[in-house]
Amino acid sequence: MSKAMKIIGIISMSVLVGLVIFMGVMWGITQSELDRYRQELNYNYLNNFYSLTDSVNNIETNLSKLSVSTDEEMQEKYLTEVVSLCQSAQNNLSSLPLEHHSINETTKFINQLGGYSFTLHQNILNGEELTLDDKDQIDQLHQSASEVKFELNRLANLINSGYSIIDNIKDPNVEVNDFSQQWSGVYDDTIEYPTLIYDGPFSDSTQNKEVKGLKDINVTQTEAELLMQKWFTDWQISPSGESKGGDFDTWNFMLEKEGKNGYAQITQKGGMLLQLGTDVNAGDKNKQLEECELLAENFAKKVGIEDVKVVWSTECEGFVYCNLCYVKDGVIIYPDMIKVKVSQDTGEILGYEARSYAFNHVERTNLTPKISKENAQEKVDEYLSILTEKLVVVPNEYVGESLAWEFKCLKEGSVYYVYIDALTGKDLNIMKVIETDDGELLM
Amino acid sequence: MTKFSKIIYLSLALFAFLSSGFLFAFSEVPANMSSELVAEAALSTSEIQTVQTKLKRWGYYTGSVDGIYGPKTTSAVKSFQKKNGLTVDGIVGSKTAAALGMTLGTQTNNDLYLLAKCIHAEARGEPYVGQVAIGAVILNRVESPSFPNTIAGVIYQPYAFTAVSDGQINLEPNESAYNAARDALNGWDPTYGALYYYNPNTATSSWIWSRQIVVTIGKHNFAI
Repeated sequence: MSKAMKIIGIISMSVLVGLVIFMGVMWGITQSELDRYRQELNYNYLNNFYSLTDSVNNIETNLSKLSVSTDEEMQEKYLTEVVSLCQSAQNNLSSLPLEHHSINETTKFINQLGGYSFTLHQNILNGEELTLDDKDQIDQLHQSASEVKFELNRLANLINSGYSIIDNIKDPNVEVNDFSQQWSGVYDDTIEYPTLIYDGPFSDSTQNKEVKGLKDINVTQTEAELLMQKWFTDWQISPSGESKGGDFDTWNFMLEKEGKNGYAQITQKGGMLLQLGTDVNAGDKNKQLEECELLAENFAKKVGIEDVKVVWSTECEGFVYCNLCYVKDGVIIYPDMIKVKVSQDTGEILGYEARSYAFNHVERTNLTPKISKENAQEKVDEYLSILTEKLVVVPNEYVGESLAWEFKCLKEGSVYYVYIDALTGKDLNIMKVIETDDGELLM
Repeated sequence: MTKFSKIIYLSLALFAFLSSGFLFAFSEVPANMSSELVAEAALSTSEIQTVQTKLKRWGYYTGSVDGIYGPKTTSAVKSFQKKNGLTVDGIVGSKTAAALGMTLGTQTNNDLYLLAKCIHAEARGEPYVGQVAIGAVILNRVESPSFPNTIAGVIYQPYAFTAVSDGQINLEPNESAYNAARDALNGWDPTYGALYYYNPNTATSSWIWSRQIVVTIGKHNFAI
């Protein structure tokens, strides 16, 4: 072998060795990096798991104290505790790597427990006492909470004795990961969760709201199709079955025009247009906001909704979204609301939604305030300058509605709407106009 | 070429190839693009009114609070800047705004953005109605006691959406996804209250098949 060959041999060998070392180092770095991420993720899971267990333990304790407490101030304290514990428990639970159907029932229980406690707390603030039924309900809830607590502590023992969450969620081929299986004690049929009905968030009753706004006639599919053809003359209409079992039974239709599609629903009871959606894109901005609002009002009239007026609208990317409300004797009835989407290009109606109206619309009889405008005005913060005032009906947060004075106010360039109950003079709500990068929001 | 020099070339090529692979792998590790762009966007009418109100209260401005950024407002801002040791340019940037005690910029509509992202990731090949439907399912979940109570909570819940698990959620949504998200937020619900959807051709969960199907749109079955 020549000298040159030897040198080449040595160089190539050292390159190879260098390469192996380099790869080894790189692999090591990558591996330690991965280990670090895994570890951080696992800490995150553990944090959520232990916080959840802690919250449920405290929920159980608070409920048991509540069930034996007779003092309203103490009851208020326990209920507030339960509300905030439920909130954090819910956050923790939904951050854990568990399949939805294994935590479905537990999530529902926690949310409803929070909602129910919130409602009881409001009742106490309004001067009501806890009834015997409430106490019974609390006992039942305490029972369920104890069982959830028991299961969680069983899992905590498992984890404390070495069970790793992160090692038991890896296999992508199994339908339900092992951690979810371990969870099964919390979700299987052994724990009985009570059905909770109350006037508050997540109640089983608000899940099945009463429909009040539909006329008492039944419409066949053929009749509904005729209505569709009358309302949407430019579109080709074809029936696409019915929907049953939700809040409304409906006839469904597909719409088609020049390659564009849409869908619409008409209620079987009452024959009301419930919703319309289309995939027509935005075009030029030929029409101003006011013109679109007028088109929206005319369309509502065309589909048989009388006496509605635009109360709020936003312009967004070539469309105007209008909110229309029923107006009676000059009083705006906010619960009876429909939403209409108008194209600024052609003025065509491209979207429509009337669920609130269908739920709530009835003839209101008592629209006379007991509190004068001047008296209500005294309740408005003195730093707000009042721009306009109106008599309105507003939906209560969860159930029912109230006659109210609405004051549109200005403070440092921000617009507020203040609502004062026109029968009791109590503060009902404050809404603020929030400007976002996507139009104005009322929050 | 000799055998050895071939080996050298080969090993060098291999080396280059592998190291580029490693570099690539590393460049994927959180490229956190914290945007340093401070929005110098035009002030909204209400922000201008706030500026005018404050300057008027402190005696820099004598005009009316009309929300119009005219010469009077500009010179008032300039004298405020001069007095406070700021760059005198008559523009309310972030520093001047801070000195005025106000936060600039309107709220970002994160709900809309997240909804559009999830719609885009889950249903970008679907008909428009199918995209609105995904948005509606997310919003129905927010309202339901059996799910988290915020849009972010629902979208980022572990195992809730395939497109979140596999990272497609990180794609930037297109115009159609934004429109669908807006329609969903405005109450359009082509699923009639559905909480679940799945592609019957690919769904593997036996549990999901037990749910009652409400409607089929495009590739997806929607269920409660």
